Parts: sequence; C-alpha cells; structure tokens
Amino acid sequence: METLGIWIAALLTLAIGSLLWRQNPLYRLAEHILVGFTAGHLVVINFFNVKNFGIEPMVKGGMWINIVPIIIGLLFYFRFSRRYAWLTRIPLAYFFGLSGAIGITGALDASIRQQIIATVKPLYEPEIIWGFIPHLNINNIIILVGTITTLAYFFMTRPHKGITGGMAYVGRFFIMVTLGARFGAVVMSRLSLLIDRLYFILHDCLKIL
Amino acid sequence: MREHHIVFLVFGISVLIALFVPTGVKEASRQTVVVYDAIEELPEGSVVLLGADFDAHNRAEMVPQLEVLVEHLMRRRLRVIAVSMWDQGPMFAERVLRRVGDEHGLEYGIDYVNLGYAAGAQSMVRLLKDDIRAVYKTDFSGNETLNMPVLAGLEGAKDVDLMVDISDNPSGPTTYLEQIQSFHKGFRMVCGLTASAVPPIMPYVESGQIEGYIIGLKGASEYEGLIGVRGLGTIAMTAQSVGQVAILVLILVGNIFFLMERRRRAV
Repeated sequence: METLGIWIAALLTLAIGSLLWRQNPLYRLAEHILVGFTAGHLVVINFFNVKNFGIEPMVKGGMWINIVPIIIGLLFYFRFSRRYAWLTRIPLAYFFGLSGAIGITGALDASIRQQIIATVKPLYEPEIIWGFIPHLNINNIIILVGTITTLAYFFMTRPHKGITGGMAYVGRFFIMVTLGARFGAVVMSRLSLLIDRLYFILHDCLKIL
Repeated sequence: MREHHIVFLVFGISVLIALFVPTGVKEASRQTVVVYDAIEELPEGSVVLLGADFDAHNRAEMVPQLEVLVEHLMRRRLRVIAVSMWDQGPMFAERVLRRVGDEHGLEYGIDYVNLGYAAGAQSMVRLLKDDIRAVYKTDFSGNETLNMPVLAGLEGAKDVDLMVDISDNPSGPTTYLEQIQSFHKGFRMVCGLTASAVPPIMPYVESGQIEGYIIGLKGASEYEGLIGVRGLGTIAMTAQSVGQVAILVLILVGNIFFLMERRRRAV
C-alpha cells in the first residue's frame, strides 16, 4: 500500500512538473486533485473543530455556554439571505473585537516595546579597537540609522522634502537591501523544494540514490 | 525548445547531478550552535514544547529540521510535547516522533506526546499558556490527556523549559512570543525556520527574545553534522550550492544578453 502511495505521489509530482514544458491535461488533472483534496481536508478539519470544541463539551460535559459561540458562528450563514445579511455583522464584530484584543495585548510587549528597547544600543564602546573608527560599534549604528530612516520612508503625512526627504531616500536603500535579502532567502527555499522532489523520485521511488 | 526550457533544463540537470555528490556543511554557523547548546544544556527529563507549525508545501525544509531536532531531543532524554497551530504539521510530527521514539526505546504518552492541531492561533496560544489540557483534551490519536504521565506537573506552556518552534511562517514564533513570552519573561525559545521566514524573525533574535534559529536545509545539514547523523540536509547541500551558483550564472548570462540586445538596438 505504501509503495502504491509513493508511486501516486511521484506521478503527481511529474504531472505538476510537466507545466515547465507547457500547459497540458496531466498538469490540470493533478491541479484539480490538489484543489479537491485541500478542500476536503479543510472540511474535515473544521467539522472536527466544531465537534470537539463546541458540541462534545456541551453534550458530554454540560458546558451549555458553548451554545453562545455556536449561535454566533451560525449567523454567518445569513449572508445567503438578502433580507437578513446584516446579521453577519454580529459575528464579524465579535471576531474583530476578540482577535484585536488578544493580538494587541500580546504584541504591545513582544513586538513593540521589546523591539524599541532592542534599537537602543551603545554606539560608543571603549573595548572596540578595530574598524574604521575605533570605539564605534558599527553594527549598532547601522541598526539605529536603518530603523530611523526606514520609519521616515513610511512617514506619509508630510511630503518627502528637506530632512524628511533625505532620510526617506536613505531609508529606501535599507528597504532595497531587505528586499534583496528576502528574495535570496525565497530562492533558497524554492530550491529546497526542487531538491526534495528530485530526492523523493530518486530515493523513495526509483531507489537509485 | 524555447529559452525558458533551456534554463529549466540546465538548472534541473545541474541540481540532479549534484544530488549524487553529498558533502554536507563543514562548519556549523553560530546560530545553529546556539540552538544545539540550548538543547544540550537542558537537564535530562526537562520539558520541551515542540511546535510543528508548517504545512506540506514546505516539508522540504521543515521535515529534515524536525527529524534532526527530535533526534537530539530524544537522545538527550527530554520530554517532548508536540503542538501545532497549522493543521498539516501534526501528521509529519506523528511520523517522526513515533519513528525516532521507537529507535530510542521511548514510550508514547510517558516520554513524548503529539497533541496535534488546535484552531484559534493567537487565542489558542493564549489559553495554551495557562492550561494545556483546556486546549487539548485529547491528543492527535484521540487519547485522553488528563492523566497522561508526560504532562504530569505541567499546567501550561508557560511552564516548559524550552520551546523549539519549527515554522514555515514568521507568524509562528511571533505568536508564541506575543502570547506567552510577553507575560512570562522566562519563556525560552529557539526556532527552525524556512529560509524565507528568517528575515522577519531576525529582529527578535537581535533583541534576545529568540535565542537562536536554524535556517532551512542548510541549518538541518549543519545540525546533522553537530549530532553526527546523515539526513536529507547533508545529502542536499551540494545540490543547494550548485543550484544557487546556477541561478547566479543564469542571472549574469541573462543580463549580458540584455545589455548586448540594448546596445544592438541603440546602433
């Protein structure tokens, strides 16, 4: 059974890969199978989410309070009715409020306060004796300049002229370097996908590696 | 055959040939050593929360990392509790945990457990922080978690000794930081990341919120070298290098042709 699974996976890999040559029915077949499986998988996952976290604790554990989120969730289905579509605003408001509250309270410390603290670093350190100018911590200077000028680039309430314009201009270079680094990283990631598929065909399927 | 077919062919053949010449990485990077040390320094029996926060489309980078990190965790006899914010991660975690657990003679439910996927992301992790059993009443296989020995003495994720988050998305580690570390400064974390997830995570490493990380297949290869095993990371490293050189050469050749064409048109 496992061998059959490996061969099906290998054939689907080749079918998807055949797009590199040109559009063809094999590619479209594999694409539709993927879409179908993904949709089916999500339906099953969501079904068990509702069953395990909503229905079962209510029926078996007596947690009848669960009826409230279940009803709020069911209100989403009123989007199919023109007359009662406004009712979908209730669950939407609930989700916006809840996720906003939970997200912001956590992010305030980890992603804002701690990150601001991390940019406040010594620029002058007596023990540093190397570099263009001794005692200057070049890394910390780059972090400080990069943070301030990048923020200036996204400062949209004033025209980018004068000092603001100069800082935004420098910030643009930091953004370009970041995008270059991200592009390089994405290339590395995608290359790994190709290697994995080739290794799968050579090792698991053909057993020649 | 058109130009892009030649590019695909050159690229594919060079990577294919390189797969037959595995070399691995000679020396581990500083970040990989930090992750290794963080696990190595934990006393036997310490509790490690393992995040399998990735989907099937990134298994190429994630599974080699998962295999090598679980190997190290189980070799050190640490209690491993696997959780996931993504629905497909637990399937990979289950395979790897069971296989490596059997190899080390460890028992499921006593030495390690795969709790599986729980929906809710931020709100789920906020609840996980204080009460693991409230989020996971059963594990991935449907076993009751209430009296599971591996969870004994543990209330929430805030009580674990280390979190190892293997994630294909920067929102994986940041969610744990925002929802657990924001409220419990002693919450320690190291990560295994896809290469594309690293740049947004680097500020959190610079600030010390994340102790260290391993990057993609390269990180897996370095880690395999540190603990002395041979996995896909080691096998793939030559192919990865050859592929990257091929891309550089193709970019250079493309630009040369572009400049030649522009000069010809100008004349």
